[in-house]
Amino acid sequence: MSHVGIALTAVALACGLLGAGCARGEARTIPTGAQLYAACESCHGADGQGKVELAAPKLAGLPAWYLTRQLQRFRDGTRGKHPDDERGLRMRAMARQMMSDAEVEAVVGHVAAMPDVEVVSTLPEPDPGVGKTDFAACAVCHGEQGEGNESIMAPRIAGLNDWYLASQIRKYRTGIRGGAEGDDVGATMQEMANKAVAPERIDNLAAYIQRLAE
Amino acid sequence: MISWLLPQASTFAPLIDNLVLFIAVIVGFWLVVAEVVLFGFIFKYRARDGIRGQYVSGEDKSQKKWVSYPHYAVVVFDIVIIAAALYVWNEVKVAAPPGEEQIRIIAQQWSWTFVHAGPDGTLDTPDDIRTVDDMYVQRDRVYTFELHARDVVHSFSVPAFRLKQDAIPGRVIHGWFTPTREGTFDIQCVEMCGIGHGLMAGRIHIGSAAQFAAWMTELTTTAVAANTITTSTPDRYAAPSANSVLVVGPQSGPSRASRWLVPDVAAHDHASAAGGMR
Repeated sequence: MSHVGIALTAVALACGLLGAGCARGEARTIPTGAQLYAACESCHGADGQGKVELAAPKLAGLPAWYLTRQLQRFRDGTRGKHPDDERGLRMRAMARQMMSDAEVEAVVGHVAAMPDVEVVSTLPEPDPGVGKTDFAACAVCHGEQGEGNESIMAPRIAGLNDWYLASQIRKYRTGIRGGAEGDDVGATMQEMANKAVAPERIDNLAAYIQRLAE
Repeated sequence: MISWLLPQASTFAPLIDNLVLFIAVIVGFWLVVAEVVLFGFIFKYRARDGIRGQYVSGEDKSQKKWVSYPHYAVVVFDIVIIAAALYVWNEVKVAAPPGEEQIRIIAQQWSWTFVHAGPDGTLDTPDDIRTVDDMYVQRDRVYTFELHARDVVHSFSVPAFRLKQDAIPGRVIHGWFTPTREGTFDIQCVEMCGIGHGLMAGRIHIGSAAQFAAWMTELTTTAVAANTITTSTPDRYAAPSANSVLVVGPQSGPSRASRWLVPDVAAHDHASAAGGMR
């Protein structure tokens, strides 16, 4: 390459770097929901189906208002900041990848648009029949079919992973979830989880709730 | 000189900085000398009209010395550097002063949990205080720490302390530090630990004795501390059995006397997910 060629290449590179530097000063473009979801995909799956081996529940089929609320709670530490919430602590860090409310909205829009998927049962020999009895207390807020009620912040629970439902009930019972300052709904859930179901019947209840979607 | 870029906030930070500087000066000096000699020779023996190029085998003593003397110098300076490094290693890793307070650091994907000993200065007592991602210490107080990892290998790093220590699952690693400067400094994980590794940041808050006491009082009364449920050691070390863990009652009184055993949520989940969990 001639000296002139080298000089021109150097000038072109310098201009490119200068341009890149100026571009950083412009308003940051919000990534699309699909782009943001790439961070979630490795655990929750491309279709939001969840991965039991990573303790990541399914997201497909959950309403946007609930997803938004939970992401915000993970971000501000209202959920997933208890020292014993090993999985919550993992999710808390990932939720903080969403840098703004706009990014939360974008990724939630992407997830909420995912068609619901059926999940397989994982709890050994559950008895959903027993769970039906205990579900009566849950149905007051979450609905007869577990369809949820946004007006009282009760999410849809029908069709969620049985292992996830069982673990969340246990977390509420032991105070690992729902005890953070300002978590009024969590406090209610703690009370309900302690009153509505005996520890040995939690798996049955979770199995029943999962099958409500069938 | 390094402290111009990064504050020194522990007793051994100056030692480590001085060691790095010492090595940099030695290596830097000889780098300059070597380059001067190299370019001097290139200039001296540059191509000139009427002089044929020579093949120099380097067998003459006068030629060999340009290689052998630097080799001797490398050995001598290596010994000096190793001696200095061993001195610093001994000061930082071996000759730990008696600890005035204990702290437990638990790493997991992708958070830090800190167990502060509370007013009695001893871990595993009812006044322990646990925090997530925020660590509180008192200036000029000697802390001994034990480092745990819940899942994979992590590395606990406080750049302002010049402290870096791997955390390995199944092992309890001990260390110490003495904060010397008040302020808030970064805690980082410096071992790739999964997709959220870059998000695994914490903060260490260093305060005066009065400030530290105020922090501890505040933490004891906040909801975070009020929800301190289980024992302050990671489950796998502390659980009395595979499926149970010691639980402290929800603030049942100053003594927190009401302890009972409940199924460990995590252990139960792992066992009940039809073999799919870990």
